[in-house]
Amino acid sequence: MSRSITLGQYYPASSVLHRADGRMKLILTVVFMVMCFLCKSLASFALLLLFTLGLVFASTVPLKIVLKSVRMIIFILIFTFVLNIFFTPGTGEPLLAFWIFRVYKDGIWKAFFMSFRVFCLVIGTGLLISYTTSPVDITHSIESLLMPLSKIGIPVHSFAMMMFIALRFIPTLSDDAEKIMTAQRSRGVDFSSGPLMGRIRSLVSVLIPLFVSSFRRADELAVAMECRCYHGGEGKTSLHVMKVRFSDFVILFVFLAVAAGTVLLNGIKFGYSM
Amino acid sequence: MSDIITLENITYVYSPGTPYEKKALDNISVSFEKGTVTGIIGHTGSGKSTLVRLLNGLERPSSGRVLLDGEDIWLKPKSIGKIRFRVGLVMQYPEYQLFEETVRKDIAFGPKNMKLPEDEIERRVRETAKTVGLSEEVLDMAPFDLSGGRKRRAAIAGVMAMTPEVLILDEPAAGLDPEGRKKVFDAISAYKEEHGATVIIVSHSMEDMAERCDRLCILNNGRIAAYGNSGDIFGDPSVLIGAGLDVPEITAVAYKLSERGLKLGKAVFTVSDAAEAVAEILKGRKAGSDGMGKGGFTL
Ligand SMILES: Nc1ncnc2c1ncn2[C@@H]1O[C@H](COP(=O)(O)OP(=O)(O)O)[C@@H](O)[C@H]1O
Ligand SMILES: [Mg+2]
Repeated sequence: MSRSITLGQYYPASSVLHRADGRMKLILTVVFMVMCFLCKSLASFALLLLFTLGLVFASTVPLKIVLKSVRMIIFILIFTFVLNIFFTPGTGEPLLAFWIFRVYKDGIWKAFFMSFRVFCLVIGTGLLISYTTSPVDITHSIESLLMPLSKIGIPVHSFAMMMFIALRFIPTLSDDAEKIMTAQRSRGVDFSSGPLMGRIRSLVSVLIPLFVSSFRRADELAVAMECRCYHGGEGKTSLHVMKVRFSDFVILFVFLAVAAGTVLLNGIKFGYSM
Repeated sequence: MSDIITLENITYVYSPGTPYEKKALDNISVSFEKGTVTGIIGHTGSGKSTLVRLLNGLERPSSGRVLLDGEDIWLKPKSIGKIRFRVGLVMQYPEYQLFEETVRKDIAFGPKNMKLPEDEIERRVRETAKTVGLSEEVLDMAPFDLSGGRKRRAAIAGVMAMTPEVLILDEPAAGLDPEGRKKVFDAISAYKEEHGATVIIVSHSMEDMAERCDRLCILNNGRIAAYGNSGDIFGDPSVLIGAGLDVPEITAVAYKLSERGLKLGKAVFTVSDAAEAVAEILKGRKAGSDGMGKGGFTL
């Protein structure tokens, strides 16, 4: 079903980033985060911006959609900006002073840098994970990366299976919920207007059937899995065999090179540096 | 007779402007006549459910108008709820919408939302229970304890109790055994007789529709492939086959025969029908009359 995969922000395409190994992308995300926090000078921030734009281009996700994720964190951005502008201690004369607030030139620079950092962080990690990796791939990747922990008795596979089933059933249940709501609307329920108490009561007409159907589905799934001799134990092989390819290492190399680049560019003291 | 519901150049697009954009209905115009039983047939994904959801205002068309008694139902979007009491929709697998403690309460749910007086609700519950063939004891049972067929009829009663002028049912017999199917269709006929309602039934089962519908509307990929009297439509299975529908094998055979010049006279759906029709022709030939087409077909 086409609708089932609209879960999260996944943007179906087959770009370089989409094809890259999920585990590698998780690692790259960490590299990217570190990179964002390494940036300290105007020059390194410029490189970061360029690189982030490069990622957008490489992912083939339209810029409009990418910027949507920024809209969600607009308040965090504003908060970061305001906090930095007013509470950065500076040297020399403040540009502005009122009550307990002092605005220094350093504060303005820092406010820009910090909010820019958050901005790039959100776009970069979004591109590496949410936009180009399907939830199922993310689960498999996390499972694979955490597998060593099963040596010390942590049931990594069971956790991954639980997460996988939960993910798998989100669209199914939301489909169910939608169907039940439509059915009740056909019987004259109005979910979107009317008095609050009435609306809460009308939710009952959705929640009860939804509970019934999710228990039924859980039961059916358990039986189906048992019929196929699922035991979740040792030796279970996976349908999705993950393989790190040469291109994944090339991408990793590019990330590390850019990270090194930002560190080098920190040395160029132009404008302002933290 | 006059039309009760008319669709004018209806197009419906799911998730417009996203990578998942999907045109489910493409410029459809069709009228449903008052007091008739119309069947909507099409293969899975042809847009049947989308079409019926448009009829009672659950979805708003991307373009085009839905007219109920000549009036655009979206003229006053705020009062679209009232349309749903006039055009009742029984969704696919309606038993999943049951939620009250007793069947009685569940059937009363719709009329209650119409804000009818208590005694009228009570009267309607009893009346519809009779229409769908549920006994007094069943009314006091929990809906989850009923058998599949009874659950289905209880859910259908929940819509019928609102006494809509137009009753629409999306795959009302799906997943039921033959006896359950018969009871569901009997309930629909009973409702139509009692209230003089217009009925629209969605199905992909030819056998169910052939005998029960006055009109048929064949959907294929969001367009109307054919619309007309059911006798005419079934008389020419080429439309059905063209719309990707599974006609019974014997119907397909008969169609192949007619393509090669042997006209069986009427559409056949069972082997015994076909045998009769062939016997008819053979009799005609023995009597010396020409039962065959010009093709010189020999049996
Ligand atoms: N909520 C939805 N979002 C996106 N596409 C949908 C949705 N519902 C149905 N579709 C698509 O619209 C088309 C028509 O669906 P539907 O009306 O359910 O067909 P039918 O009832 O004839 O099987 C199908 O291709 C289906 O995948
Ligand atoms: Mg359908």
